[in-house]
Amino acid sequence: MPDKGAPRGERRARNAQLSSGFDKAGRFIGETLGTFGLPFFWPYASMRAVTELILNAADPVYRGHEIRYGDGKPVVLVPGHLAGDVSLAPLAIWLDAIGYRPVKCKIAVNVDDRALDGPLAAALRRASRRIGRKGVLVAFDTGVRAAVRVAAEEQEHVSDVIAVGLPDHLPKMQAAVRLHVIETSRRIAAPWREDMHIVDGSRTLLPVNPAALKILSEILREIPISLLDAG
Amino acid sequence: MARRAMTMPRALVNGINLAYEVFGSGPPLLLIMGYRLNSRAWPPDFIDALAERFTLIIFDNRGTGQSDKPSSGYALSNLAKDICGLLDHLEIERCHVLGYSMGGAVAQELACRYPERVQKLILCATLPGGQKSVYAGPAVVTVMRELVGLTPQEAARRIATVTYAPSYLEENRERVERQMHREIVDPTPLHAADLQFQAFVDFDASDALAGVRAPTLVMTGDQDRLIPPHNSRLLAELIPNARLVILPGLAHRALWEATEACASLVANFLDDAGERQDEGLREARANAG
Repeated sequence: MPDKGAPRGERRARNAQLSSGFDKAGRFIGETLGTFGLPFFWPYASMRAVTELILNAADPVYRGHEIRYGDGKPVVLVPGHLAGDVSLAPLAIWLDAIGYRPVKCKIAVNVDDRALDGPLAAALRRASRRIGRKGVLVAFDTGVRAAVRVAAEEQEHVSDVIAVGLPDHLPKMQAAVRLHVIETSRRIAAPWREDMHIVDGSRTLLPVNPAALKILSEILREIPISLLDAG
Repeated sequence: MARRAMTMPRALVNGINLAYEVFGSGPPLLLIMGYRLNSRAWPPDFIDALAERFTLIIFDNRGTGQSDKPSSGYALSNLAKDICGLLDHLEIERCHVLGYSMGGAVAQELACRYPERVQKLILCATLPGGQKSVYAGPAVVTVMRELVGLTPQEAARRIATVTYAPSYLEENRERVERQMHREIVDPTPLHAADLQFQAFVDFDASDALAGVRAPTLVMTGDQDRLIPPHNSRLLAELIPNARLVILPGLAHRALWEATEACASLVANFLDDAGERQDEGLREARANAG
């Protein structure tokens, strides 16, 4: 309850705080529904995801079959909504095995993509300077927004953004950084740009979807090395 | 000891500057070095012994030593093209070729794509690529690849643990250290090492090797953990009329561990007298059969 006895400035600050809290909660609910759909469908979506995991478990892509070896470029992984470094660990292990240098952003859970910018930029700068090359950001759903924002700020440290699952709204991409998209057929019926790839399967399982992984490896392989000194 | 200039001459070939040296006298013999290493890495005694009987052509592969280090063009077929350019520059139509490790893979590309340039072929501690090849285990690959943040010395010491036989390393620490200091004068940048590694993984000459016409010697150490000896057996099966020599007790760095024996093996194979000996041996065996 607003305290009528408090000075006007203090009251305004408290109202702003309250309104920001409501904004955050609204945003969180919106992102959660946007990512996972209505709660009514969650049991069905979970069963579908488990089935998909079982069916794909023996896919040769996980063992690196028919995957071309990487050139050791730094690949910074940006988690999607309610995901974190732990959920991207299998992808990191796989990328390492096929010849890249995956880097995590030290994010426990992504509840608000605006909070990712700082840790993502720091992880990108660190990896890029350590390896002496521009990095590639591989971002998932709402994490793509943070990746695009950070790419705009850190053009000297990033060459490409690979969006695996698109968020509802995407900030404008800078011309100096290339954007590649991998999305599910459930979300988008047809590619709307040349470097957009459509795969079948559950959106929440995109980080371990064999078809998405194969495309990811092909995109990474085609990205030329950009040395930091060479600009 | 063969004289080595501090600054090597460079030839503009295939769009890059390739550093090279030519010395000795006799028929030309081109030496192709392996992954990450430059021409300084050849064992001095090996070079000296061969320079007495051959005109040696040694060079720094793309990305190593005093050659250019671009960020593309490391496919082994392109490295073979670099060599063809160098031979053109030196006006050498045809020569013997010895390739060590990844250099052996480049030598295979050269023999398959430009057979007219290769007189005799020596493949040392290498593999044909493809599904039948046996690659190093994950622990060895990790040692070779996880070099970020290490100084050239640290990286070289780390790699030495999997390339030399443990017993040799134990008994010849000073010798290995001296060798290491020679190798890191012009250290290979990380991007070049990564791209060489990638190209070596991509390499597959297994289907093309049946077309190699140059007499070939395949040699390896039986303790090689990096490129297991099975690969040399496979090479000897795939290349018509190849001769296989498996050197007991030696590892991936067989040329460094038993320099004198390896130099004499190479020289005898390349030497006409050696070939005559082999022919005599074959005839004797045929007669006995």
